[in-house]
Amino acid sequence: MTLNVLVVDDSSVMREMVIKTLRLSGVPLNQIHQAANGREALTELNHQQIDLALVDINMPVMGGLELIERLRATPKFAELPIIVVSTESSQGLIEILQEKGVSFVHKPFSPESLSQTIVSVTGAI
Amino acid sequence: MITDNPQGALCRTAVQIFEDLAFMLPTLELREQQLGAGLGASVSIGFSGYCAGRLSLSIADSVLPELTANMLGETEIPSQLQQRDALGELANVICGNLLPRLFGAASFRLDPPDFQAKESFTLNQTPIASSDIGLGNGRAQVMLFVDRYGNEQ
Repeated sequence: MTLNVLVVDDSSVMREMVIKTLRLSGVPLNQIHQAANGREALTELNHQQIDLALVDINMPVMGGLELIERLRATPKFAELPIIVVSTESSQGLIEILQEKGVSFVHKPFSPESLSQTIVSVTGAI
Repeated sequence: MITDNPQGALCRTAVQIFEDLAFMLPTLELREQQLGAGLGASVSIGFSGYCAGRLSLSIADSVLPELTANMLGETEIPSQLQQRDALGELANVICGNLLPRLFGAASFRLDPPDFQAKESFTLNQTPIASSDIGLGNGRAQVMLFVDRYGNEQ
């Protein structure tokens, strides 16, 4: 199974770092799409076939938590595998994400930690 | 309640992030050339929650292109926009990793990067921790300011 991945982060440098890390991770990839905030992510999700979303929390226009809330409230995306990639790691945030079935990778991350989380979330080898 | 020594925590966190995110070899004992490198671009990350304040990061102009290229895994000189973006992301990650070291499980909200002259961040205020870090032939300066705790106005 090859994955179509959406990387959502307001920092273009961080998006590039995540994409490079994805390519080094050994996870089988098909297409990688990008969005700079939650609103752009919704547009991508409605126009592309996405298997996995990697989402930052703090973003302008629409942040990661609002994006996740909207996706989980939409039947089409209720089961979409989502991994939050963020510096924020408070217990409150982790609990909210767990309730919504969202995994978490802390910045800075290694290719190993990202690939392990992707494999556990998607079952991709 | 602060759970770690602010100065030590700031140094350890900043060094770790420069290593892990920008693949640099930071030093806390600066050479004369590094000490003489003027600081150029600056960014501040405001935070609120258990306490409110900001972390500022200033960096020598001679270092920022290399640091950004390392983050991008590129050999070409990155654009000014990419350099600014990289500086903001570094400050964000340093701040996000430092606060839990200092304040344990307390919750914080981080603001977007604020790119202004260093003086506007430091005017009339003393940081609770400050560190100069040698990077290549230049340096970075990281400072942590706490304005108020809890619900103080």
